[in-house]
Amino acid sequence: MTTFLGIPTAPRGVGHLRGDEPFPVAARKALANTQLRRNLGKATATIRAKRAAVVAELPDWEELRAAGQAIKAHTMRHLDHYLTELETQVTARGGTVHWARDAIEANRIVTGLVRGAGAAEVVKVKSIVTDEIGLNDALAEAGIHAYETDLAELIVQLGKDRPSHILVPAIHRNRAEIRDIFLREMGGVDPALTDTPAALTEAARLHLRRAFLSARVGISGANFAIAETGTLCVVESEGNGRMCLTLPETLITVMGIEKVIPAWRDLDVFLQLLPRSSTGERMNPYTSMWTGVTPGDGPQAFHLVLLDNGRTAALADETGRQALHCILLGVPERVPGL
Amino acid sequence: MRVALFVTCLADTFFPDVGRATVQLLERLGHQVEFPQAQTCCGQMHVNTGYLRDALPLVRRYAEVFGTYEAVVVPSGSCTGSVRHQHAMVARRYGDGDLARRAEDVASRTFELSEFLVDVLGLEDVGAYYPHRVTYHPTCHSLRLLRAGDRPLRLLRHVAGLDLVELPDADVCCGFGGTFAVKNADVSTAMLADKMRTVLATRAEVCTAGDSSCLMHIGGGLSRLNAGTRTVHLAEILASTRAGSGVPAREAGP
Repeated sequence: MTTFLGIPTAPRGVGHLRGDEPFPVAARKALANTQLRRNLGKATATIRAKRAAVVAELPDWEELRAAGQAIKAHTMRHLDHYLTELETQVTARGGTVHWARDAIEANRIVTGLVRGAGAAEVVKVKSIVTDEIGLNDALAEAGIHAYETDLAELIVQLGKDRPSHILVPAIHRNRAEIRDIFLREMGGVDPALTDTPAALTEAARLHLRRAFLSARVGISGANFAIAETGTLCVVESEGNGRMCLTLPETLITVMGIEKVIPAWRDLDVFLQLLPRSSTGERMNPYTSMWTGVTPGDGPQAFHLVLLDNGRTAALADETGRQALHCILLGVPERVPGL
Repeated sequence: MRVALFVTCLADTFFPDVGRATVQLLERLGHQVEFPQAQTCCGQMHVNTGYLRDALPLVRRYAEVFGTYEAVVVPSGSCTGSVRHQHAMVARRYGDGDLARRAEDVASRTFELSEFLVDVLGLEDVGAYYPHRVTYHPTCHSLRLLRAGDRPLRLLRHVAGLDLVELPDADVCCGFGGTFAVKNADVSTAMLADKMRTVLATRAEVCTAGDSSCLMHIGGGLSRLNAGTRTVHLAEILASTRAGSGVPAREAGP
């Protein structure tokens, strides 16, 4: 006898996978904001020009893209195999793997783990997937405060705002607006704070340093997970992510199941594609990789939460599965205008 | 060469001068152009909005109507893109492998106008004369789907009397996007405003492109600004000679 359990879907009413209102309605309001249009136009024009320049430097750019697509297509075709290999390898190296059918399950798992570690606050690496499942809201309901530590995500969080771009979440804010948010929300900020990038970054650094040094739990997403060794990889440009990945006693990584790649040689392709295509950088500034738990070095408890939340359903669709090839290029940008 | 014209819905219904210009240009270059009366829409509209099954008969008809020609010329990057990237896919979706193969065969002989002139005929100078200041907008489908590259610009650079001025941020979409303009009118109009700003910054008399659809969008916006810049399809510029515009003057309406 067999029992068909069904394909998990992304439940409504939790997380930010879907917008609060239809796109045309939201667009009408946003288009009326001339400051936002100016900020976005300036920032995206800068990034696009940078990207075009560095992409043009690589003679094998199109071949790299084709290789990336081929690796993703292969991995998605054998996703069951690579996910179980990843689980085996992570477990063998001292980590614990959790399987979450959807956002509700993932939030419950993470909240339970944070409670189990006896923590009332966590530090977070910039992550799209935890925004997808609305993890911060779920943690807040359990009385746990999540510190966003990516500079742009911090601006969004302090401004009680929503990220406007997967790469550059605060791209809609200019320096003067960021200064106002810091003065209003951060607490203990020198009222003479200017809106120069260096001054704003220093204010954020002082604010975050306290959280880094006291938090017992770090939470991250993942850009890649290498099945053959169970190694997780996060790319970022500030180093704040690395603080979250190395300082706390417990590290919890929430990862969409499409982020797995078979082997280290595949990472070679993506680490060439990602920085140039996302923020126009030749090389990613901070590339952190960790494998299970290393006694006496870094977090001594590592939990990997593998999230479906509609991904298997997308994989079952011939057209929809292309969305799973996206590498999201989740590299944080600095203060717009820097 | 026995060439067929696939005129496209938009040229057939709104911009017949584009079809006429394409024929006159090709005939001037010494080719016999046929217009198979049985032709219909390529089906892109149906495919793009999710009605793939309704596109299937149109895919079949295209393969039947144009299957025997050496080349099919289309004055549209968008419709060429549909023939080349959607037709076989639609046929396969409904399990018609034979039609998919025929669709691929005819797609391999279907060319957007600038592709046909530069790649098939090996021409850059088509002997045109157009004494105006012109800027060129590369439409999304010709740029991204067909990868037409600088073929239209190479053709324009050889037009006598033409003052070609570069369009800033040329590769940004004009905001038309077919049904996008209807479903997301506000975003579409905002993108159009940006596009018009760059077109007007060139101080060109004419904005040209390889697609009547995008030109309809840009031209509609420009006409409401009374900006003095008008839109003209690439085919009409290339059809113009010292002897005249190549396109007969439109008859006065009632």
